Amino acid sequence: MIRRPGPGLVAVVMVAACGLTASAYLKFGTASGGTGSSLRWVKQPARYFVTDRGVPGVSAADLDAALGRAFGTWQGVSSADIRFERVGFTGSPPFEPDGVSVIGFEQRPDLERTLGATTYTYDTRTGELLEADIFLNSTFDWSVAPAGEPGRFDVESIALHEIGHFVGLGHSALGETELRPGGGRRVVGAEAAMFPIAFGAGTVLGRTLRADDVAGVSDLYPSGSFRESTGSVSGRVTKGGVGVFGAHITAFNLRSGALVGGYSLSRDGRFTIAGLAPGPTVLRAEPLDDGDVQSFFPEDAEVDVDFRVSYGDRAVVVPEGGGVGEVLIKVVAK
Amino acid sequence: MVGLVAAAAVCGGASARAQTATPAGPGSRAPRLERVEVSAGASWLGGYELGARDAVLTGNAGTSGGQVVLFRTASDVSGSPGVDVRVGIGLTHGLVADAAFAYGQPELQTRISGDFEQAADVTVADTIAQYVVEGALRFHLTGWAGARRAVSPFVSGGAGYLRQLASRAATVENGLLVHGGGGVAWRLGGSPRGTLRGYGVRVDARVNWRASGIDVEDAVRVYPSAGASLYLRF
Repeated sequence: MIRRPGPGLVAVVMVAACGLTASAYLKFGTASGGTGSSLRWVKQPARYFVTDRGVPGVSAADLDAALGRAFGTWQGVSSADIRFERVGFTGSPPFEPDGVSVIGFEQRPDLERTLGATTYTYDTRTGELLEADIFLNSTFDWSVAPAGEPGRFDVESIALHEIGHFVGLGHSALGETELRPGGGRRVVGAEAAMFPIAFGAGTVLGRTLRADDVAGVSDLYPSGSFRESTGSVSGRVTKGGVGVFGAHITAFNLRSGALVGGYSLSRDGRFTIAGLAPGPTVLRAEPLDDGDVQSFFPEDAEVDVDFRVSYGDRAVVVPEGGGVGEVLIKVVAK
Repeated sequence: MVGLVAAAAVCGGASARAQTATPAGPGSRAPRLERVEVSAGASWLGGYELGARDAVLTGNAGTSGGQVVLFRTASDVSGSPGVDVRVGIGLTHGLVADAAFAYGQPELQTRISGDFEQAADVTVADTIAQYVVEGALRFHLTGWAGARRAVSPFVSGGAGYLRQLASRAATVENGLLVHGGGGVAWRLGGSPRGTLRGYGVRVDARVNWRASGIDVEDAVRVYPSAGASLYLRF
């Protein structure tokens, strides 16, 4: 999974990830024998090495510390049971299929709009993650300053996003963008660390996990009480009575203000969003038009983006430990 | 609440013993005071605002206020008709302990506006099946048991257990309801020596304080209600 910086158009590149399928949040998955499995670490803690090379303004020790903070943010999600272990420094670069997870800088001028990327090695039958490497593109200028530095990308923010992929999460569509006059997109606002386009250089806004990220990682690695303390909403998105594939559905909790996203992932437009806080909730469907569709789904997926934003046919009250079904979101073509 | 009803029943029993101790004349059946009242009626439950909340995104640098509003919401619980049944037991000349069961079907309504991508404003709703079991004390200012006045004003107050089922009964939330109010009972007839010692119509109005239950925040909600019922006294 490759992440591109703000000025760039986001086109996700799957590296060593053949056969991946997308499911809600998104999570990455693999299909084998007619059944799907999410990519996830089974053996924990998930261990990683840090390359012993820095870049101007960021030493290897700085990188190591920033990664530690970013891993700690994910590990600190109380409703998720995911643990990491930093093994130490290594001279190996990332993206080597060597059986160990390595995170570090790498010079990739050919990826002129890619800040970082994550690759996987996994068991195609079970989805068990065996190795995940992350590189940060040293073609860009980087910073670990507490409040950020103008013109430099924040290591911790971008690492937080990539570590989301490291644990098995795909991209979230909880954000709005605008086209730049010179091409590419600029983030207007986002509410997920897993939004595919970075806020931009000089900010540290990406250091915080949002409700959508928390729901995603908790769904992949639920702690003891997560399933019992949250609920789900399911339903269909239709256009002219026909199901819509690839619609982005946002669940807005009227009690907490939390936004959690999901997608319609079948030909008949069915969706399920789990890990929702209980309480009154409204649903909103929008097309994936704030970035490249390939940021979210495989290139051969027939995602429908020709419809206007619409809301669910009813409000729902998400139960604790249960689910609300059959919410219908009717959309019309643009 | 259960404790309140139980206490009322015990008190009612004590009152009954005092009343039956009244000596009757030889060969005659003395008029007895009404002690038990059963009523059923309809009511109107007032609506109340739940408040507004915006769905916001963290804004990028230069965004005014640091937030981008994806859409705005404002929610309320609609007014709705309801039904109730009530059993009252006379405690004293003017005081009655009531136990009641009430049902209503308000709607949780959310108005959505100001969508970032110019979606049309809409209102979405979810029907709530609402049950209340409550206990209350009612004091008739001109006396209750045996009162011969056609009109008997009263004040009342009590508390109850609220159970709300939403989203086609997928969700259950509980709460507490406290109320206070007053009304008037019109006695239409009855026989002091018969089994049915009185009957009539009662109308009342209340102010309700609701805590917990389906809501968008932890807040006590205040709303009015009014009802009319037919009562029978034994």
